[in-house]
Order: sequence, then structure tokens, then C-alpha cells
Amino acid sequence: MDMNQEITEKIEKYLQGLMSEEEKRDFENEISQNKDLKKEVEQLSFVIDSIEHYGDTELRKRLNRIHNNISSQGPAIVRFIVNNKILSVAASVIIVISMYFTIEYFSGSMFNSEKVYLTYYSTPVYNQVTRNVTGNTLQQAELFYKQKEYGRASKMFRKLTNQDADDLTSFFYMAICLHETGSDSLALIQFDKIIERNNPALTDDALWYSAMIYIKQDKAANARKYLERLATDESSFYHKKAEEILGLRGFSE
Amino acid sequence: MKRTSEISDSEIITLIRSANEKSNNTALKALYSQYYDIIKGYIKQNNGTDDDAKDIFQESVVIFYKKIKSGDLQLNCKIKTYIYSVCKNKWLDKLRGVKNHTRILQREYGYIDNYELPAEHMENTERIKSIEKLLNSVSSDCKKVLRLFYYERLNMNEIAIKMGYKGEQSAKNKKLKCLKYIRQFLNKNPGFDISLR
Repeated sequence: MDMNQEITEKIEKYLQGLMSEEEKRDFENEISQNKDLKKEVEQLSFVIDSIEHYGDTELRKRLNRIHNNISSQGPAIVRFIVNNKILSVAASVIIVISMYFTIEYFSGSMFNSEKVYLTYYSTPVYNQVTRNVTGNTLQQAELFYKQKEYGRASKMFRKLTNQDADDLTSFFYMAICLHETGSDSLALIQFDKIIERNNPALTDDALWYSAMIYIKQDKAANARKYLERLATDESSFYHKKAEEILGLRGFSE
Repeated sequence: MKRTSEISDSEIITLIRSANEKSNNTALKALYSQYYDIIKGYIKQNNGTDDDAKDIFQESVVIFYKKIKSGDLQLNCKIKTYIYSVCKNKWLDKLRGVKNHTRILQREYGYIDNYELPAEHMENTERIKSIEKLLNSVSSDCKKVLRLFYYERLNMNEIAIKMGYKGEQSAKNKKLKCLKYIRQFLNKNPGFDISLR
């Protein structure tokens, strides 16, 4: 066994809690005296964390596929009938008879969260007109945002919101940046702040982008609450789009 | 072939422990077909939505799956009882939090209600970003080998068969090569947040 393999296996044993108390004490002693070893341990721990994150994501994808299959089979009672041979034959006859009416009834398009998100979501263009703030931080935030460096832009917008808790425009763009960098939960919190204050210039945008995030997350019930508000307000810029999404077959079920 | 709704607890555990992905999937389907409706009923009766039920149920299945894979779980009750109690605890945690907006922000997001994101949360976000950046830099083969080893807890022989390598040693070499690449990548990118948690 080469040196690398031996050290790696020892670190794995340590990180997975498989060492005896004595082995653990000795190894921790060794780590405290050896900077290179400490770095190796930190790096492997980071790799294992990363793989854990990746593994969780992959497992959730598998579960989502199962969930979608089960959902497409209908509610529990329908699945029970499908799983019972006699009942399923009887049900098939009824299904064939009612098919004609079903096709007539469901004439809309089918809801598909990924497709809807890709169709309706677009990163908002930075709108200088809405700003009444000046300064270097703002210029940097604008620049990073326009260059699509959302991580850096987010930090700048955060600085601006820390300086002025009423600067809702910065909250809005910070939320967009957080969404663009994958921090959806935090983005939703920022949007909620805008919605709570009922700011006339930004509330509709915050409602719309919150709905987009929930659609991306395949959480139709949450998205629906926001879209319904937009759909009931005929003066809203998002009124028609919200109605379109709410009208998709499968979305409001 | 048995229907997933008829697979017993011990069979589910055996299927999850298996190195075969199809068997794992059968177990996941069995968990879904046997327990999802029960959890959904509970969550919806307690002010939750379908999406909440899906989230809570999937989180509990992920915990159960990982514990079985790692051998950390000594199950002294039925799987139904285990999943139900994990879901119930998770949902009650969530409900308690909703009663107090500030508390939920602080606990679940580490967020202080003065429009400032605390350093601790930003650190976690930074770490997740670092993790995602690292994963994007690694080849899909490497990610798969490392996932099979660290997440699915397969041995090298099982990994070799799954990946079509010549044997156990080839799988070990591949894993070491991947780790070496990652070390080099991390050394070249010193800005990564890799501190021990």
C-alpha cells in the first residue's frame, strides 16, 4: 500500500468515527503537531461533505421522480384500485368509457415546473431609474450585477441594505442575486420583506419572483398563493402571465 | 415480482443495503407507496400543504436511507413508526417556528431581523458555494466513484463491478487519483472554505 493510500485510509477511519478512543487520541495528537496532516484532514473532510451534498441532491432527484410517478397515478384510492386485479379490470372499462369526456374536459396544457420556470423566468435588467441612492458601493453593486457576478453584487447590495433599511430596491436586487447563486431560501426572505411593506413599485416584482422560485423548487402550492394575488390585480404587469400559469392543467390541483 | 406496497420492513432494509441501484430504487418506491399518504395526511391535517408533505417526507427518507447505508441505525421499531416520528418532529419544529417569525428566521436561516445576514449564515452559504464549485470542477466519473464510496458505502470490489473497472485495485487507484486531483484543485484555489465543521 502506498503512503498516500495509507494516510487517506487513516483519515477516513478518523472522520467516519471508526477509530478506538486510543487511536483517536493518538491521531489527534499527530494532527496538532503536523500542519500538513491537518490540511489533509481538512481537505478530506471537505470532500466528504461535498460528496454528502452531492449524494443528497442525487437522492432527492430519485425521490422526485418516484413522487412524480406516484402523483401521476392519482390519489391513494386510485392506486389501490390499480393494485387490485379485479378492481383494475372494472376500473379500466369505466376509464375507457369516460375517456372521451376526459379528453374534452382537459383541453389545456400540462403543468411542468421546470418548463414553466424556464419559459417565464428571466433575470431582471438593472433599472437605474428606480434608484435615489448614490455612492461607491452602489456603483460597484450595479457593475457586478450587470457583469452577472451575482455573488459579489449580493454582498454590495447587502452593504447598502445595512446602511439603509428602507432601501427596498437593494433588497430586491440582493434577492435576485441570492436566487442566481442558488440561495433560494434567503432570496425568499428578502422578497417577503418587500411584500410585507407593500411597496407599490416593487411588491408585484417580489410576488412574481417569489412565485418563480417556488415553481423552480416544484412547490406549486406555495407559488399559487403569490400568483393568485397577481392574477386578481388587473393593473399588475404580471396579471396575464400569472393567469396563464394558474390556468395550466395540473398546476391548481 | 412483489408489488412495492407488499414489501416488508426487513426486505426494504436489505434492498437499501444492496449495492444494486435498482434494488435501492425499489426500496425507495416501497417507502413512498407505503408511507407517503400517511405522512401527507398528517401534515395536511396540521396546516401543511402538499409541498410541505413532500419536503418533510423526502427529508426523512434521506435520513433513513443514509442511516441504513452507514449502519448507524439500529431499528427497534417498524419503519412506519420511525419515518412517522422523524416527519412529526420535523413538522412540529417547523410549526413552532412559524408562530414566531423572528425565531424561524434565526433558527432555520440564522437570520437576524434587522436586515443583516449574520456571519455564521454567510459562512455556511460560502461553504455550500465552495462545495458546488468543487463539484463542478470534478469529472462525473470521479463524482460517481466518490459518491459510491462515501455516500452509498460500497466496497471497492462493488465499485469496480459497477464502474466496469478491472478489479478492486483499479477502483482504489481511481479513487486515489480523484482525491489527488481534488487536493491539487484545492491547493490552487486557496480561497475555499474547507475548515473543519
